[in-house]
Amino acid sequence: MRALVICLVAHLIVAQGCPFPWWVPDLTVVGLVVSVGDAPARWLGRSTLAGLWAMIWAVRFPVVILVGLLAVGWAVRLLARQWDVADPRLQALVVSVAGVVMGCGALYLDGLWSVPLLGLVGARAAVTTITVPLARRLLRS
Amino acid sequence: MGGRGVLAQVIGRSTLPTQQTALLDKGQGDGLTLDTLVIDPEGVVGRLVELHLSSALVLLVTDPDSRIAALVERSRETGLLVGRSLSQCELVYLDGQADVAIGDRIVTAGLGGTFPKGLPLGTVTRVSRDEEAAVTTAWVEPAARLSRLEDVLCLPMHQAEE
Repeated sequence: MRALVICLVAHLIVAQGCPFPWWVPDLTVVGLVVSVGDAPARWLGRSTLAGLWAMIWAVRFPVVILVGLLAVGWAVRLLARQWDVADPRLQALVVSVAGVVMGCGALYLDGLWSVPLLGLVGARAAVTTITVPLARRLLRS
Repeated sequence: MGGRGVLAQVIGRSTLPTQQTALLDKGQGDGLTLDTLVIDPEGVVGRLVELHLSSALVLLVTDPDSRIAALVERSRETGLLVGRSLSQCELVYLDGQADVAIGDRIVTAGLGGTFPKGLPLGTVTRVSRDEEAAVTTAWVEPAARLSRLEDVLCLPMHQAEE
């Protein structure tokens, strides 16, 4: 749980300081995947916490955001039956897929399909994925 | 509440890039109401869309739900300023021959009730004309420093008009 809370607070701080919101890595998803990866059985509580935190900012589709983060936690739980979800490579893969799916979902719901925004979704997913090993190292030090 | 609006601090920015909002440290308990206009020293920041006792959520002009009646200060062409979840907004509903050029200042048109007339919205950075559809679209860099928001002024409509 500590890892998740640190990532949620870090996400808020980075979002506050970054001039362009698309450059901010999705540390909520990173924290969720790393945290559930450490304790898959606790996916529901951790996903709910991440979802409620993200809902603070939502003026549209708050329930969809909550369900999206619940789905990420559940997916990690499901993967844990077959693979070692504490593996950083698998965590990075889950974070990148979640970033693209949730980003494209947000564009679809807001009717914002455009090449520049699709590019930004991809770039944000890439930046978010890069932060996975960094977050793991920081959280375990 | 006094006669000069409420000065508020931005205490948080949205972590969702498609939903461009900011959280203020003042709310209903400080006399704020929904749709209160929020400005910074440079121009319009947005309007309040959620109120709590001691905090409020501002919908920034760059959010896709933000729609503000706007006009080109120089030529008085009118259009609608729409957020696109990017750092710039789009001025739409201009006709094909609309007199708008790069560098033009865009201000509020005062239509619709929420925003009084003449407040700075931004500057035109790009213009595209579709001659077949007889439509002109202008990209507008917001006047407010949305990337560095700190202190903002919340003005209910009746005070903003004064």
